[in-house]
Amino acid sequence: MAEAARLSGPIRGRGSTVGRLLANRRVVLGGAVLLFFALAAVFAPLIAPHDPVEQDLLLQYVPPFWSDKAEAGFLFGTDNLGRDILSRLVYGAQIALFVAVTAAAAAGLLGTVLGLLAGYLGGWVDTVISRLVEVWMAFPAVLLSIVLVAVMGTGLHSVIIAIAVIDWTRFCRVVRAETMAQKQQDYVASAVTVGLGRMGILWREILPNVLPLLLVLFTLEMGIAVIVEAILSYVNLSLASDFPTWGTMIADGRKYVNQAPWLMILPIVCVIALVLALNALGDGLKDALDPVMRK
Amino acid sequence: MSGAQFTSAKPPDGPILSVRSLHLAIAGRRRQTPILRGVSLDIAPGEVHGLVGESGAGKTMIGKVILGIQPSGARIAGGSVVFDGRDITHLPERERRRLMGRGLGLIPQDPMTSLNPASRIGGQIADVLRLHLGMDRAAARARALDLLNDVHIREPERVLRQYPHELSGGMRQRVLIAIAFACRPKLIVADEPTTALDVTVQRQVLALIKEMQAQEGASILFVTHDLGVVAKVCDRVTVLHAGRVLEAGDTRRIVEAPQHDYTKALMAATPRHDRPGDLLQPVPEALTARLNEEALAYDAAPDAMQAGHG
Repeated sequence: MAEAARLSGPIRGRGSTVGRLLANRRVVLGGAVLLFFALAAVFAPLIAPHDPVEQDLLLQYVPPFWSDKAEAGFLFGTDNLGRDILSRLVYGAQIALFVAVTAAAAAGLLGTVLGLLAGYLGGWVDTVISRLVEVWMAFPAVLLSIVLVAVMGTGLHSVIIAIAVIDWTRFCRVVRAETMAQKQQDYVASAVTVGLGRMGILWREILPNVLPLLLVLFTLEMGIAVIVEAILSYVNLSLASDFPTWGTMIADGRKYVNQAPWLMILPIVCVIALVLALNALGDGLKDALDPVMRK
Repeated sequence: MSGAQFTSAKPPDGPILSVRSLHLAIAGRRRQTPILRGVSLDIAPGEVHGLVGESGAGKTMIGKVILGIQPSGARIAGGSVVFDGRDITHLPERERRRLMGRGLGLIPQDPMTSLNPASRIGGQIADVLRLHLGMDRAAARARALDLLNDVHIREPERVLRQYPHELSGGMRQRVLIAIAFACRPKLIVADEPTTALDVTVQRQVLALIKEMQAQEGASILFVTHDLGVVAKVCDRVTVLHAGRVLEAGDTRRIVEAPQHDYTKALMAATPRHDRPGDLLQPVPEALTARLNEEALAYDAAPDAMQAGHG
């Protein structure tokens, strides 16, 4: 009833949502870091001072700018083959974000469709899908991904497919539960009484109400995808090793960690910063968009 | 408490809705719990039919069965619901959907939760019009605007673009009334349409339902626990207790000369503007106990009781 009183006044719906998002520190901070990496990825050819695969054996192990032995034009130094670290990191961001977005989208699409069907139709459809999810989740994710990539062959598309094939269960479980909750709502019964069909209700009534949750899951899944991609390229199952992915850079840097620790530290910092940003953004979105949490 | 109390006044012309000895049970883990015990009622075209009873009497469930939205555990154990000449209790989903909107409509109990929170008012009204009347976008929008005018919403153009959370409870109930009447259905189930509203808004919404009903000529099954509301809007009333019809007849007759003890007790428990001095009496416990026993006796031997009620 208190809510009724509050809602009776005119409220600008869209403005208040944006306002709520901007008032959330985690959304702003996570969003800013994500935006930073996204801009770096999109404008990589403009930002990168060198070709990321160009070798210069006369300029091996140039330390980053904070060292007195730093060379002009190599902000973060060079690696064992004289390749510019900054350029490699920038192009690495491109690959990391591309994998994050496509893999999360693919996992989200598969999981959401199955979750909606399981939650709304119930019965044997729900039983089959739920059991499938449980069996799926019994496999250790990293092992399964390595097996999948080994079978499909290395490459970016294998990494993306592996992440989607493993992580659709996250979306499926949450979307199924939320669909079951939404299905009980009065507005769904109202939709039935005006003669909307099952698919119409699922698509027009339930999906829009599950969307905020999907946005949160998508953001968190992007963070997971960044880590998985790094792991797979670390064990050399992603792109060919001269491609500048963060995981490859970490793996290469490990060999020279005594002479040139920055080779390993800088890509690790990038992975951690991006994943933290995505997790913070996801958590913040959850708080800002959850109707129960917002007061 | 003999059969004479069961007076089902048949409407003059053929009824638009005819419920015949409807039995409904909810399946539990061990046994079935009977909810409706042979309910019969008729609604004539253009009639507002009140369905009164306390919580758990099964009045809302009757409305749900008519609309085909009874909970999945509820099983129709017998009887029929004949709407517009055909039994709709076991209708295939396709035909049921065709019936909704144009044949049957609902004014729900809780306006706060009965609109989709994620889509605009205009879209929700237009969806119904496009689905059943095959209108294009522009025609549906124009008709939605008319409907909002009909239900006396101020600034209808603005409300069309708003989301449900931007409207008050009364406004939302008006929108839901507009949706219920949108495709000119023959029968509307109004499931306690004023219970969730502020008292000051209740009267306006009641008046609006009456007005729309008169304008569109639909029949209404008016589910409520409030005899005061019944006296204001209903032509005829059916009194329900524990899933059994105790008394039915013209509103005037029921209000002025109730026959059944339970109806009398309900009247004594209802504030009346024509007798402001009277103290309100709660329904005696002995009476409810006796009625519950009767209901259980009916479960044990339905045929014997039915014979008794003729």
